[in-house]
Amino acid sequence: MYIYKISRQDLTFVNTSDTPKVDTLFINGLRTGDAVLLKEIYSRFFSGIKQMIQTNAGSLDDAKDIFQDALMIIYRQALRPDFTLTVAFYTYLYSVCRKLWLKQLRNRSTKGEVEITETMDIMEEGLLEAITRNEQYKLYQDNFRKLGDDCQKLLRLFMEDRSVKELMALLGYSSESYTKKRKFQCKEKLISLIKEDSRYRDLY
Amino acid sequence: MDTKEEQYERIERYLANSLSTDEQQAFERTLQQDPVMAHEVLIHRHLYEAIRNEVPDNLMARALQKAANDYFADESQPEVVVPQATASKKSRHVPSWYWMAASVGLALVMGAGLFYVNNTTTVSNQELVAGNFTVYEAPAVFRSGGKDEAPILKTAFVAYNQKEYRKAIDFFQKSLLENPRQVVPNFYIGQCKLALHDAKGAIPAFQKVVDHGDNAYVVQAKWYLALGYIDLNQKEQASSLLRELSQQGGPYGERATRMLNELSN
Repeated sequence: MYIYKISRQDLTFVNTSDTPKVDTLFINGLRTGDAVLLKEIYSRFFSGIKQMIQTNAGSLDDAKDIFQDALMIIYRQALRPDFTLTVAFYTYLYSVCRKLWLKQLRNRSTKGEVEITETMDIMEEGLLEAITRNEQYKLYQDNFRKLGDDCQKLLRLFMEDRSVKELMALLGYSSESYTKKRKFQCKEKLISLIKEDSRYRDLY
Repeated sequence: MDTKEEQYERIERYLANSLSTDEQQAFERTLQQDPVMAHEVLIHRHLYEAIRNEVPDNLMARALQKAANDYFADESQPEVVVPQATASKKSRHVPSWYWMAASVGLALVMGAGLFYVNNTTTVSNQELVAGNFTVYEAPAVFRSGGKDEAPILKTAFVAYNQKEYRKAIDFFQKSLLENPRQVVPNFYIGQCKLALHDAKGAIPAFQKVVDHGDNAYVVQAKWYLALGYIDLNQKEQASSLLRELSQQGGPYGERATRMLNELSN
């Protein structure tokens, strides 16, 4: 079992003596994408996650991918207005990484031998939902980037709740009917790309 | 029966809450009876969320990648040895002629050095600051709690990213007028002033961040505060901050140690 404790020296980093403040610092670092704090998260926590993954049939590259995915999930969670960190940051990070890794192991059809302590199963339901949401976002965003620049621009503007008239003016299209037609074509193309993606079947 | 284009449009209007009450109720009845249509609505809903978040998500993914690259690059570097101010040194016997020779040499060096020391101190401090100062990156994802603050701060960060530091300062100051308790504008005013070689102006801005205490920029502000003090040749204040950063480790630990070594040379 891997147990993490924030040491006295770690705490001096933020000139405070309680863990919640350090954890809030990391959550804020994720919310804002602060370069120094993100690196600090890597410095403090990556080795623990690497150890968990490498002792459970994973490689260093797996650890890197899982760590980054987990931070992305926590970032998205942290932006929700109702988000509250009810456990230590590392406990939360570890739980997300562990869930992600188990999911990937299952996908790879790796047989047995995975022995990870069950004591870290915190926020199980919310976590699974967050992990699924992360995968859905990836599926949609990856395919969105496959569209041509004009379709990306059109759909982005449309999602900003712009009217057809505004879209027409901003994109220099000749008529409202053409703008509508183009919007439909772009969206249809995107939805068909998403549905053809192999990840789609796993997610829906 | 609706064409696909009409179907998409109806879903769009449903998600935008722009159907009339009757239309909405009818559509919701359809959704209960038609799982294929209900699934299409779900796909659209997820699509909207994902695309609306695409830009900030992409910025965050890049920020994470950069943090990973920096971390793994540092990991492959040899460790910096932290000098211990109070570390006990092993005593060893030194022949007395060593001391005599050293004294003569030292006197000669000091005599020569006196001609230059007054002229070179300021320059070397500025060089030291220039060699260690990099403008702190703007937050990858900027979000503000107050409705009125966000546009001003966003404009400030646009100017900041374009290195228009004077313009950025104006906007950061405007933002402070709205809410003087904010930490972010003060931190970035300090950055702008340092970038404009105005250490005297940067110090009070960073000091406010440090004095505030309960924020994500305290450690960073201490590092830049130390650079400001070095620039103004206030080595005592700078060394005190650098010792603190060096002992704490953290993101500036190694750089603070190196800087202390350079200051003591």
